[in-house]
Amino acid sequence: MNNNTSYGKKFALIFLTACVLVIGLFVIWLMAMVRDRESERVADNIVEQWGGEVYINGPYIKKGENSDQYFYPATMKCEARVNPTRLHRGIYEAEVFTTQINITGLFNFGGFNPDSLARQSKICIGLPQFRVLACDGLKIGDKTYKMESEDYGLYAIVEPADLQGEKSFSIDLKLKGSTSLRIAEVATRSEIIISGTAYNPSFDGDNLPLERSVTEDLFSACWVQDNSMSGESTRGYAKVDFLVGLDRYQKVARSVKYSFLIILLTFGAVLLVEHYSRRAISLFNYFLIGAALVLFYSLLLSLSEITVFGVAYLIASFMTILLVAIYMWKMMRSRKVGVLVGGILSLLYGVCYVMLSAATYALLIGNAILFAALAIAMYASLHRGSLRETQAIEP
Amino acid sequence: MSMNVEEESQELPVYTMQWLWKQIAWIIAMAVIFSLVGSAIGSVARERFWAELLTSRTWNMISGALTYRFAVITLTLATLMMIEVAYRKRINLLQYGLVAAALCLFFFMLLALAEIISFKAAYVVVSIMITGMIGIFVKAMTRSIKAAITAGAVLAAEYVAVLMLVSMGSMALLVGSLILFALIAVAMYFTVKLQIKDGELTLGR
Repeated sequence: MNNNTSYGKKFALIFLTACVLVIGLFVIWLMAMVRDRESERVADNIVEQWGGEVYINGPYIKKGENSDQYFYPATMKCEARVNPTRLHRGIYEAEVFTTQINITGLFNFGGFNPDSLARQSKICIGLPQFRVLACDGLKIGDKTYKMESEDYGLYAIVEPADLQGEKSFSIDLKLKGSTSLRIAEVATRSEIIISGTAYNPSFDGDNLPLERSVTEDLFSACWVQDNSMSGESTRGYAKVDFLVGLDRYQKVARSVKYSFLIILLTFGAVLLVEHYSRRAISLFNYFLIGAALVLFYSLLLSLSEITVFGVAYLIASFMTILLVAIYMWKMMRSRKVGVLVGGILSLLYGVCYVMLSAATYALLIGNAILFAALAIAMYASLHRGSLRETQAIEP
Repeated sequence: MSMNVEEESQELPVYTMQWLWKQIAWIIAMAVIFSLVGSAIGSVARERFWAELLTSRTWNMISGALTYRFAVITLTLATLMMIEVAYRKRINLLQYGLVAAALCLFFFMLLALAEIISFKAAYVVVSIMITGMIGIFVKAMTRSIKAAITAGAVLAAEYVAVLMLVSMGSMALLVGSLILFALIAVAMYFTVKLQIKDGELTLGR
C-alpha cells in the first residue's frame, strides 16, 4: 500500500486482514473448550473416587423397623464448617471438601406414648454412604448413643424410657464430599449455618438464606425455617453448591470473545498513526501486529495452566504490549508512536480484564478509565492552528 | 503566481452534493462498526446477568435500550453533519468517530451504573454526562455555543425518546412510529432549506 491508496480501499483490506486473523482466534478458542471438557471429565473422575453430594437428613425417630411413622425434633441448630482441598491430576484439578457438622436441638416428647413405640425403634440420620470420617455419639439428654451405619445413614436403637419430656440432643460429625452440601430442615424450627473457605459457592435451597456473605477468604450463610406458628409440616432444605472443576478455560474462552474488537481498535489506532505521520505501512505489517495480538490469547491459555488467571493475564499482556510497541517504534522511527500505541493497547487490555472479572465495582472502574481516555482523545483531535498546518482526515 | 493558486484553492467548494453522499456513507459505516461494539457491550451485560450481578428487570431494560443504538448513532452523526454545513467548520472523520465512541460509552456506563443504582436514575445520570461531553466537544470544534446547544438538545431528545420506548412495552410500536414520522418531517424540512449557493450547500436562513 502506498500513499495513493484511497482510504476506503485501505479500510476494506485491513478489515479483511482482521477476518483472516479470526481463524487463528477460533483455533485458540477451540483449544480452550477442548481442555475445559477434559478438565470436567477429570473432575468428575476425581469426585467419583472421593464422594459426591453430601445430604444430611436428621436426626429423626423412626417408630419401628418397617414403620413409616416418624417423629421430628422441635428445634434444631446445625452448624457446618466446610474445609476444601484441591486434588491434582496433571494440569487439572478438582476441589473437594471435608465438612465438620454439629447438630444440636430439642426433642419435645410431651404427650408421647412410649408404648406406641414398637421394638426396634430407632433414631436415624440420613447420610450418603461411606462418607462418614468421624462421628461422636448422639447425645440425648444425658445418655450417649453409639451410632451404627446402614445403607441410608446412621442409626441407633432407642429405649422408650429415655423419650420423656423435653430432651436436648447433640451430635458431631465429620464427612467428606464434593459438589454440594445439603442439609434438611427436619425440626419445626430449624436454623442452619454453613460457612467455610471454598471457592465460588452459590446458595440455594427451598428458600434462600436469610443472610449471606462472601468474601475472598470466607463465605457464610444462614437459613432459618420456622413452622411453629403456621403449623405446616413441609420440611425444606438448605443447600450450598461448590464449583468443583476449573473455571480458567471459561475465562480464556470469554476473553477470546472480545479479541476481534481489540484487533479492530488496534488496527484503527495504527491507521491513524500511519495517517498523521504520513508514512505508509504495508498490509503485511498490519498482519504481523494482528498475529501478535492473536498470540496473546495462546500465551494466556498456556500461562493460565501454570499460574493464577490474573497473573497469567498480566504476563501475557505485558509481553504482547511490549512487542507491538517496540515494533511500532522501530517502524515509525519515533518513540512517541511506540508509547502511544503501547498506551492504547494497555488501555484495551485493562478494560477487557475489568469486563472479565465478576467483581461488583469492576465495570465502574473500567468506565471511568474509558471516559477519561475518550475526553483526552477528543481534546487531542481538536485543530489548534489553521487547517493548512494540521492534517485533516478526508474521506 | 503563488497568490493566485492560494486564492483558487480557497474558493474550491467543500460542501458539495458529492461531499454529502460520501459523508452519509461514512456515517452509516461508522454506525455499523459501533453497533458491533454495542453488541459486545450487550454480551457483557448478559454475562453479568448470568453471574447474578444484574437483576432481570435491569437486564431487560438495558437490552431494550441497546436495540436503538444504531438509530441513535446515525441520528447524532447526521445532526453533526448538518451542524458542520450550517456553521461551515470542518469536522474530520476522527472527530465523527469519537462522537460515535461516546455514544457507545453511554451504554457501557449505563450498564455499570445500573448495577448499583436504579435503572432510571442511572439512565438520567449517564445521559447528562454523555450529552455534556458531546456538547462541550461540539463547542470546542465549532467555536459556537449555538451549535453545542443544538447538538445537546438533539441528544437529550434522543435519550428521552429511547427511555420512553424502553419503559413503554406494548405502546412502543405506536410511539416509535410517531417519532419516525416526525423525523421524516424534519428531514423533509431540511432538504427544503438546503440550497446550493456558489456550488456549495448552505442552510438557507
